[in-house]
Amino acid sequence: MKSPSRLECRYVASALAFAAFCLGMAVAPVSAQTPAKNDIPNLASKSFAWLSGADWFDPPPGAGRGPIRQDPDYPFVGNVGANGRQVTVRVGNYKDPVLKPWAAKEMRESNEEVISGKRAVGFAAQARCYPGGVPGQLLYPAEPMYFIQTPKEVWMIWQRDHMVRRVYMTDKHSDNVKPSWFGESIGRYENGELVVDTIGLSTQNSYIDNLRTPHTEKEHVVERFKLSADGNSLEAYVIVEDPDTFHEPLHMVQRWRKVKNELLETVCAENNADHFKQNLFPLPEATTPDF
Amino acid sequence: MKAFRLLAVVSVAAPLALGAAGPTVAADATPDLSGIYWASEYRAKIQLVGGGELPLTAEGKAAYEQNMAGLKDGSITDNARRFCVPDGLPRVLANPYPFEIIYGPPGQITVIYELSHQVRPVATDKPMPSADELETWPFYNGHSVGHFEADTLVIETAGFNEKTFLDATGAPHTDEMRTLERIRKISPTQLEDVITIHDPKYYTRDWQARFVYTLRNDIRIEDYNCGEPHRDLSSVAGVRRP
Repeated sequence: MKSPSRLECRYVASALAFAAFCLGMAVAPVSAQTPAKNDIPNLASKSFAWLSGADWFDPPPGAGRGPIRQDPDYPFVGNVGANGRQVTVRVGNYKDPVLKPWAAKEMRESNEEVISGKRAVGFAAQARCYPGGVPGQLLYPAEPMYFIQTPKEVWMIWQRDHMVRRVYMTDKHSDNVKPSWFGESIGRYENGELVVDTIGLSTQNSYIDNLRTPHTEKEHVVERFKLSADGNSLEAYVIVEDPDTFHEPLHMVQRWRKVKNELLETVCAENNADHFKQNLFPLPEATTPDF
Repeated sequence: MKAFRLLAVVSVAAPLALGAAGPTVAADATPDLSGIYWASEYRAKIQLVGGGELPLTAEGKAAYEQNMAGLKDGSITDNARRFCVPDGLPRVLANPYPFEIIYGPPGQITVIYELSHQVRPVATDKPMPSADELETWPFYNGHSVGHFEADTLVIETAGFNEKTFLDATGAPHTDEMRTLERIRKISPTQLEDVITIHDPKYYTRDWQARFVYTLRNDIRIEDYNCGEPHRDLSSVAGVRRP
């Protein structure tokens, strides 16, 4: 096996430039619309995709409490928009009163690991090549997401490491759901929206956001994917319930804009080794082959 | 070989009417190969149609011996198994996990493997990318275009990187490899994929391998993350988990 070629490096460079360009673009809020009850939003194409800008947005006023935020004592400065300032790392607000004590303790310990420098960057699923869970996977930025829609099933495919979520278009969860990274998602179309209901989410290295907010296997997520009136942006209104982690449900919003982009093959494990000895979270690795 | 004379020219895949916006369905004349499939046997070493050994050139033989020796002494890592990078063709066809064929989105047939959540988009509405594009963006699983010939889905693939093996023993290929798959139902519940390998730098002639899968719409494709316990493969003959 050979080292990455000059042409491959060119490809990576162009992809990163594209990502930086896209992250700099604003995502327009989704406009109000009144589609017919059974309208099916056209989310799927091979020539267009959906690109997000990462973090959760607040829900509309009065809709419910919003997402966990960065600890105000450690303001976040990302690579995009730093404008010469020192970039900082993700530190979640473990003092948020919505957190149950065990969750606050886990977040505080994770923060301390980062603040102390023991681990230069906290765990982020996309950066370390892990599935992002639900709804955390929706926060994958920089590379687009694709849908495939059939009457019985909807697939959500992330270009990044070709992660796949499946939504079964039925009205009832299975009797016994084995916990997994993306759980069991069932879906329906309602008033022009794709409504996805997910349970059965495993907890190991799984967080609902990039601030390492944990959850239990009682997590229940409802996502409502809605197109803007002009079809050029997509919004997911997400409600996370987990009575063992949060004192009340979290309501949050993610947005994407439509981009003309065919699915490429990007392989996470290729470029994300701990080259600078930062004690990064280890990449997934099979020390003994699976078969 | 006739098939690869087709590949030598720009191949325009027959456009398929895979439906307009939203949910997609196959056109009436298009055979329905969609569904979940699972192999019933696994072989680490690729088996040639008609038997015999790989028809290696001297250069190919040297590359194979180097791969085998490196895999044995650890100087070469099998990244597909160790870090779960894509297997590449034809190795991914031999894997003992289920996969699914989806007709969609419009203009594309999508093959998704449970193993390492590999996704193969097969364009059905455009020709193979240009030689420049294939060279600039080489993929583990290559770039694929497809069309139907009667009951058969024909997939041509080119633009591979050189980071994969043809099988688990380290059978080599170059980035000039091109493959042609002919995929069809051989019974209501069995799918056949015959793949032709064209790589004249390493092989003295084109050769074929054949894979047969059983339709398994009774199961679901599961999440896969490298290094974690995955589904029971005891039903697949030839799988030996370490």
